[in-house]
Amino acid sequence: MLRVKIKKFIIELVRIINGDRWMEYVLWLLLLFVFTLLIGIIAPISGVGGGVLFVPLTTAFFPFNIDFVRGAGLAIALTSALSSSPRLMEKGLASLRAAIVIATVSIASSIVGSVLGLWITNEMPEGKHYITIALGISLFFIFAVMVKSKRVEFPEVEKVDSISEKLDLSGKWYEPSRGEVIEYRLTRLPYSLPAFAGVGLVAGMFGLGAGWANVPVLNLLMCAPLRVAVSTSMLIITLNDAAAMWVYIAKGAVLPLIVVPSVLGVTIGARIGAMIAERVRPRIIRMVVLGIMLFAALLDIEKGLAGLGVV
Amino acid sequence: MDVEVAEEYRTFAKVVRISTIAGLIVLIASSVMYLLDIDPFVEPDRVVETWHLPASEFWKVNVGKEMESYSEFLYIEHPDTIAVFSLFILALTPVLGLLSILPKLKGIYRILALLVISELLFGAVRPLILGAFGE
Repeated sequence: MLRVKIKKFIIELVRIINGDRWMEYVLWLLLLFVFTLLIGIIAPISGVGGGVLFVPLTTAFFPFNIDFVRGAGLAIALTSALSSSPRLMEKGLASLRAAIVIATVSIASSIVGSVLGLWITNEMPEGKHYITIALGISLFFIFAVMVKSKRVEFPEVEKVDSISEKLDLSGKWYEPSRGEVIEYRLTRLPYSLPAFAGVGLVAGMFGLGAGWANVPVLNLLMCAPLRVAVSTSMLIITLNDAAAMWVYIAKGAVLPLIVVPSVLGVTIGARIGAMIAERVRPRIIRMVVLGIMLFAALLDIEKGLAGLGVV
Repeated sequence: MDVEVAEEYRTFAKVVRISTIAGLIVLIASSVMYLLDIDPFVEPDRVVETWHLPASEFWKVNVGKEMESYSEFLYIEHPDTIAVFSLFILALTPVLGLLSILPKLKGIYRILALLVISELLFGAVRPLILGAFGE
C-alpha cells in the first residue's frame, strides 16, 4: 500500500505544480532525472549495478508500463558499458577473448529472454502483472547472490581445464595498489557457460544489466581477479544488451522521453558516485542499497498481485 | 603505467569509443529537438498520457497501428524516431568493433568472433525476417 501512496503522491505533485501540458512532462522528466541521478550516485559506491535498481524501483514508483521501463533499463546498461569498456580494454583489465567465448551462448539466451518477456506482456491478458511478479522474485534471487557471494580480490588458480587452456584465456594488467604487473588465467569454462546462458535470459527478459551475476561467475567460478571480472562483465554486457536492445526497439518498447533522462541521470550520477566513493563507508551504503533492493522486490510482487486482484 | 595490450584490443576500443560518442551525440541532439517540440512523431504530452499502456497498445492508440519490425523507422524524419535510431546504432557498436578486428584475430577466435557477429546480426535482422513472414 505504501507503494500506491508514494505513486499517488508523485502523480498529485505533478498535477498540483503543472500549469499546462508542457510543464507536466517537463516535471516528469525532472523527477526521473533526479531519481536516476540518485541511483547513479549510490550504484558505484555500493557495487550494485544501476540497471538492477532502476528497473524494479521505476516499475514500482513511476506510471510507465514495464515494457518501456525494461527498454530504458537496457539502454542504461548498454550506454554505461559502452562508455567504460574502451578504457578498461586499453588497461588490459577487460578480457576480449573471454567475452567473445562467453557471448557465443549468452547473446542467444539474451535474445530469447527479451522476445519471451515482450511476448508475455503484449500477448497475455495479464502478462504485465506476471512479469512484475517474476521481476520481484528474481530480485530476491539477485539479493541472495549479492549477499552470499564473497568476492576474492586475487583468486588462486590450481588447475586450468583443457578447454580454457586451449583457448588461452589469460591476460595481464598493471595494478597500482601493488605497483606491479599481475598476470591471470581463467578456468572452468565448461561449467561457466550454462551459468552465463541463464544470466543472459534473465537480463533480456527484465531489461537488467547483468553485472550482479557475471561478476560472481567470472570471479568465483572462473577465478578471474575481481577487477578483471568487473571489467570483463562490462564487455559481456555490451554484447548481450545490444542483442536484447534490438528486440525492444523493433517492438516500439523504447521511448526517448523515458530513456534520455534516465541515461543522463545514471551517467552523471555514476561520475559523482565514483568521486565520493572513497570518502564514504561502502559497507553501510551497500547494506542500505541491498535493503532498498529487497524493498523493491516486495513492492513489485505486491504491485503484480494487486494487478491480478489477488491482494 | 599501463601494460602493452594486443593490437586487436586497441582497435576494438578505438572503434567502440568513436561509435559510442557519435551515437550519444545524435541521441542527445535529437532529444533536445524533441523536447523543444520540433516536429515530433508522437507529441510528448500524448506520450505522458499513454505511457502506462503496453508497447503494442501505446502505438495503436497514438498512431493507429502496432510497431513491428522497426516500422517506427519509416518516420525517421522526426526527432523522437532519430533518438531511437541512435540507440539502434549504439547497439550496433560491438558489431562494428568485432568487424574491425576480424582480420587481426587468429584461429579459433576468428571463428568465434564470426559466430558472435552472426548472432548479433541475426538479433538485429530477426524482426525484419519475422515481419516479412508475418511473424
